Amino acid sequence: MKKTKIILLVLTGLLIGSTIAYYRIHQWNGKDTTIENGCWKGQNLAEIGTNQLLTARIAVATLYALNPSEVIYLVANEDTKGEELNSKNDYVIKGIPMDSRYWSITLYSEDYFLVPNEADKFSYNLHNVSYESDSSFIINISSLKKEHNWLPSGKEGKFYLTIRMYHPQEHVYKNIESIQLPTIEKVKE
Amino acid sequence: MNMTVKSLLILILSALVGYYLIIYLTPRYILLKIKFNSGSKMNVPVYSDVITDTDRHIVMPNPDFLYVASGYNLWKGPILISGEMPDSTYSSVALYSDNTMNYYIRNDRQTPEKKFNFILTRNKEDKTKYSNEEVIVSPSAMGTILTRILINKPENIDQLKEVQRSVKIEELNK
Repeated sequence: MKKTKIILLVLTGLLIGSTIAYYRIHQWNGKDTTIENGCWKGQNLAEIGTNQLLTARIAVATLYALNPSEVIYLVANEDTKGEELNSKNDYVIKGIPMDSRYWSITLYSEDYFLVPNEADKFSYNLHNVSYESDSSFIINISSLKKEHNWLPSGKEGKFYLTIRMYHPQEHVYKNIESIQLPTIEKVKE
Repeated sequence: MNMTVKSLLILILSALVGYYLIIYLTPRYILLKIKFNSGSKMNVPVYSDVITDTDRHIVMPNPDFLYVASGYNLWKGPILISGEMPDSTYSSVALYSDNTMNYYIRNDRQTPEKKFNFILTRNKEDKTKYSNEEVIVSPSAMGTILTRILINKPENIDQLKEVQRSVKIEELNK
């Protein structure tokens, strides 16, 4: 076989392999997630370091995540009906306090950074959310100002929501796929 | 082996090398990019202000936290990491290897004295050398130290910033 043909084959192979790797890292659609509860999805982060693909994905999307013994991360890119979250719509998050030392719900743009907004409001947590009389909470996601628990979604298009639960109770770990997590309902198109 | 099979084998093997190379290099490339873009020095802590949308070095930042971040480099020898933790809110110090794996975490509940002081090294023998200190052996020569302090109440922020500033890194072989 000619040397130039071998070089061409090697370069083509490298290009194909690296392109597949790039897309497997960046086009993470959540289909192979290991934790699923309604519209919330998560990964077993204990595998970081041993599962190289997951390590690369986490580095791109959730850099500096902590071990599951410390915090549980769950991400939603769809509402409860399975439709993609988008800032052109309004949504309502309804939930009850999550059984952990500290929890928060944060809104990120498609590039995984915080969304610029006039209120400089990016998240709600157990300390600063306003509760209903029955101790539940309702958070309003909208690009336009809302009076009650407004979480601005900006005007950037697709967005993600992330739940963080620090030091969750033992039963949360055991029943992560069945515990009651907040719902995300589209209320206005 | 005929030429077609040989060509196919070369193509598949090269594709596999390309695939695993990108997966291996991605976390390391991202860390280097962050360090380059932030302009921060190794083994020098950077104290964040309250996180907003203008903070665009690290993806998915938590706006409820004050951070102290530093890249570490152990080629010249071990480093001493010390600092305080607040009384009333969550805090932790975490270590990440060069592939972003979180291999060490200590939180405020595990630190009743609300102070931490440990040596980070590559050399297992330093456990004997510094037998009176807590010594942690890093799986890689370079990595990241990240301290988190939860802002539980906005009125506590000045007090929490003082705690944040107590985090120090000292090169022991200087």
